[in-house]
Amino acid sequence: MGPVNWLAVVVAAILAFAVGGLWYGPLLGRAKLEEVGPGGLAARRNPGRTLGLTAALLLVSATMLGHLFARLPAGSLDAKPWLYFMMSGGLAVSFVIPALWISYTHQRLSTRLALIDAGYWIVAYLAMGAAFWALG
Amino acid sequence: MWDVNWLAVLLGALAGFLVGGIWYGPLMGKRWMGAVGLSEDQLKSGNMALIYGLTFVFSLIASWTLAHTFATYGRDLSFEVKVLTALGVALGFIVPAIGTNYLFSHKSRTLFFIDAGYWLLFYAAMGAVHAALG
Repeated sequence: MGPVNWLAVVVAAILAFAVGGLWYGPLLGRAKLEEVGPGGLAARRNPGRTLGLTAALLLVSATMLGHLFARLPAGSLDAKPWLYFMMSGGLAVSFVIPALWISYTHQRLSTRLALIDAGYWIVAYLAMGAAFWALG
Repeated sequence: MWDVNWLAVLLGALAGFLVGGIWYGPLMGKRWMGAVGLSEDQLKSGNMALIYGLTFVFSLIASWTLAHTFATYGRDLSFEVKVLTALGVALGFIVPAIGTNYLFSHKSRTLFFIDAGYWLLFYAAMGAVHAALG
């Protein structure tokens, strides 16, 4: 896997998790609830399971991001530190969000819901990139 | 950035698109409809041109980015490693992301596995096209 920065992996996952708490809490929690409908938010039913699984999934993505950064040619991140943000943000914009949008549009979900969730991934991936940049 | 194999970009997106037709058609169509909770009539009432147009544009964006990644860092990767890299993108980034979103939107596990399976197949097919055409 290359020399993965495991501390940064853990910090990145925690940051993405914290961003989620803000994004789906005080910032857009109400808007999301309106889109999903009453009783639609799983976190309210079994918060332990939902939050545990979310943490595990974010850790998988943070690990893959750490693996990606570790595989870049030696010295390229020191020479071009903006790559941390271009690559993490790029992953969100060009792989995660297109997939999410395609799946959502076929399920006939609203554009507003897609925008809320897509926005979260951009912020979360930039936050993960920042963790690797700060601890790299 | 623009020095990519545009034929591979187009065919890679097309491959993912075709896999979708098979996956959400004869293979998983009925199960997917049940999991989403939409009837055939409800699905037909949507704006098909917009839905498929968006799907193709987003597939092109993903395909170009994969081509750009390989052109920048993966010129001498083997066929297998390119396909595995594409699969890694789906497994490491897309599947966890939709998993998180579905979890919070209280979607069924069946729907998650159908869609996750699709993204793995989509990226395997797209990766294979880019690996073959270089």
